[in-house]
Amino acid sequence: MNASDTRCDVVSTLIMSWHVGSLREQDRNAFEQHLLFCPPCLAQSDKVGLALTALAELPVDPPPELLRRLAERTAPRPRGG
Amino acid sequence: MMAPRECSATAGVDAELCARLRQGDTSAAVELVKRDHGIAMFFAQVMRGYDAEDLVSDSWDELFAQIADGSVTSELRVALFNQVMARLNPAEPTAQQISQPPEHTFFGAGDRWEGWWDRAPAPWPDGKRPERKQVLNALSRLSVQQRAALVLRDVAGLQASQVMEVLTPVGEVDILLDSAREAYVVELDREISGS
Repeated sequence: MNASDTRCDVVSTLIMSWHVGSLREQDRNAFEQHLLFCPPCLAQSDKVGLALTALAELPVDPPPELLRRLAERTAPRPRGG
Repeated sequence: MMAPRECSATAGVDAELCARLRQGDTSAAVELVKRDHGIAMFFAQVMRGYDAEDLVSDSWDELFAQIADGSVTSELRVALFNQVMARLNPAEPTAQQISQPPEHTFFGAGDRWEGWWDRAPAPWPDGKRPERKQVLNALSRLSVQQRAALVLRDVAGLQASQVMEVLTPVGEVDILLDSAREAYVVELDREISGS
């Protein structure tokens, strides 16, 4: 793919691949050059980036009670008793 | 006395964690749960459609039992997800799959602007970041398999082969993942744009 002949409908199919790092270098260069002069594609790319970032930020910390229970379960039990 | 079985089929960090757990190292338990609980909770919540604290707690118990008896055969995170999956009731109602293609279009064949935006996507407001509820709503409109693949790969960081292990039977993971990512962005865009 060359930057000079990239159309928005082609670029839009590459946005996700670019964000997850699976775009080939040659396509990546053309893709990035297209974004320089195409605000709609840039806006779409920004959305995808924010959407994927939001996914990665979602996990929560474990509740202290669960941590305590599983740690106790791991601790060696005293012999005898 | 029989020697305890090793944590087979685990490597690297997980092998070390597993060994420490079997030696009774409570800090290893804290480390493991802090590392993987959040993503397991998120996965269960996305798959189930509501809070899943009990389900994940039971999954941890079973995983710790497997570690203790040496029967873990996967990386610990994968083994945890397997436990969560085993506890998800497929009969439970889940949100309907209603993901639709995006509404923006391109000029068609024969037009001098063929392939360029006809109806361009509206940008999100400056500084707008998706909220947790919006992301969950968007995910709820994907198919169950799309949801699972997306969370396992893009949130939990599992390899494609590990996603297949958790989701068995599943077809081509890469194709499923591509469709999941596209549908997720479309639905999140609808959530944020209010369309």
